[in-house]
Amino acid sequence: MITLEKVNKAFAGRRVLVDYDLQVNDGETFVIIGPSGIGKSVTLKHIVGLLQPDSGTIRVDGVDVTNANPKELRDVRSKIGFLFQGGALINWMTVGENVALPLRENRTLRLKDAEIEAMCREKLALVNMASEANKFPDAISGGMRKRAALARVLVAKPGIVLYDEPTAGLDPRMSSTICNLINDVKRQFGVTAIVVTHDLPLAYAVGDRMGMMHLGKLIEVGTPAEVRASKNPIVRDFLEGRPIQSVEEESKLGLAP
Amino acid sequence: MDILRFGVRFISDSVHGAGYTTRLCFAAVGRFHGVLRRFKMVLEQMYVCGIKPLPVVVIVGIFTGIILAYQTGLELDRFGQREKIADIIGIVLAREMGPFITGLILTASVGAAMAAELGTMKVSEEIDAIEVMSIDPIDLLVMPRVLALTIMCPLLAFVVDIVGILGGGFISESQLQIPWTLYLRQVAESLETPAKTLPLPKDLFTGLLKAVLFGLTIASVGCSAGLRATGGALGVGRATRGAVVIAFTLLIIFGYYMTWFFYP
Ligand SMILES: Nc1ncnc2c1ncn2[C@@H]1O[C@H](COP(=O)(O)OP(=O)(O)OP(=O)(O)O)[C@@H](O)[C@H]1O
Ligand SMILES: [Mg+2]
Repeated sequence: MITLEKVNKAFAGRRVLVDYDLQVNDGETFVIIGPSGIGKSVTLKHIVGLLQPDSGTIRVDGVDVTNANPKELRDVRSKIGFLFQGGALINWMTVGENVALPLRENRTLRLKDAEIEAMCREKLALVNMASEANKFPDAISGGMRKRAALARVLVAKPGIVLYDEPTAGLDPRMSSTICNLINDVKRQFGVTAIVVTHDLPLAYAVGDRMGMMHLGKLIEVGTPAEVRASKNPIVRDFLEGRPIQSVEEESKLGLAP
Repeated sequence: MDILRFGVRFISDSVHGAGYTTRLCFAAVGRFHGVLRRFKMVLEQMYVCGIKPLPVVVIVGIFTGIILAYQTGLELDRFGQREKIADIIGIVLAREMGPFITGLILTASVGAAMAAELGTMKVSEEIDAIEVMSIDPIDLLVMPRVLALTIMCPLLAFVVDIVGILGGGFISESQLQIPWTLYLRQVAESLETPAKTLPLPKDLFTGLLKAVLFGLTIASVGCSAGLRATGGALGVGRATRGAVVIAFTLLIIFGYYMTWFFYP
């Protein structure tokens, strides 16, 4: 279970998270939607302890991430798979080595090279990347990097997965593939997941519950059906993709500093 | 007011940076025992730190010897002491110039590259990804670099000593009419005082010890600057520049203190 209670975070005076509350139950997939630059990636980075809140508490399976000692933090992180928005593949390793990295570095697993290779090949096949294993990240496209990164996340069999825009930069068919993959992973392993996305079809297809970020908090938390039927004008504008009309409107939405 | 605030900020940043770099250095050294697990990485880094810069190290080393011999040779000749040239070259290279020249070359090439590599990884969230995978970035990235440079720097300094002495010999023979055999014998004699701990000439030993410290410093400063980079390509540039400037400065300062320690 992931809980955020009254989390506040400001960057250089600009408040990105304001009394942010979120609860994601075990086995649940929670989707966060919201405009670009509102603080969705920042939210995810708080959950894995890459960013520290100015105030508030963040718990992952009961462990207070903010005040955890290095050992506790390591334990929490080893349960979590984090798909970075940009993929964050290690540049000087091939795709295959990147996917193998979490297995190779986990000294408690003690896997043989052949086992590691088999597991990596299987995960790369899941994201249709089996033939790219020997390429370096800068020799493949952005969407391929994203998929390779997803393979690297899944190979460690995390109990919690944080997906930061899993389908951004992918074509429609590949998006559906990833969408199905997210649902499969959930069904097979019962993972708890947070999916950050602008991709509304994906949000509706994978979310048990979803919420929209606005001015540093989540508004309209509910099932996809409830959110789609929302009467809140801010949510309606977002779902219908109504263009931003003026600078004033932009700053009212908290998008311009 | 702004100048004051800038000054305070500068000092506090410097103190923080120095603290971080020192801790990183100790943390890397404390992980040296894991070398077997990272053997491939360490070998790779040794190649990058020690073999790749070899051509430039050899060329600069030879010319250092040549210039040294030329300049001092002219002066010594005025006092009628041209045969002293071998002593001067041997001692100056072994004690100071060998490690220092090597340190400068490695700072500008390898140290800067370390800052740029780790800095790029930092700003593209690769370091974050490594941390989230519960992998220790110091063990994965910093330890092999620090270990490799700490080993390779004294070896390269030794190369500079040798080729520098040869370069000096070339000038002695061609310009000062000192035959090679005499020159080399005198170099050997000038370096005769043995070190207390090892069966090495003291001057050579202290010089190589300096190079060990230089290697440790250059790698730690480079990695530390890289890991602290923020803000895209600009930040990587800033980190690289900072690493080179700081490592140069520390080399001079540490070099002075070690000389002072060994030759009080
Ligand atoms: N490390 C940081 N330092 C300073 N400001 C930051 C930092 N990280 C994020 N921000 C700021 O926080 C705000 C939210 O950023 P975030 O990356 O969370 O947006 P997002 O909702 O993920 O947007 P997108 O959909 O475009 O990815 C932005 O204004 C960004 O400039
Ligand atoms: Mg984002």
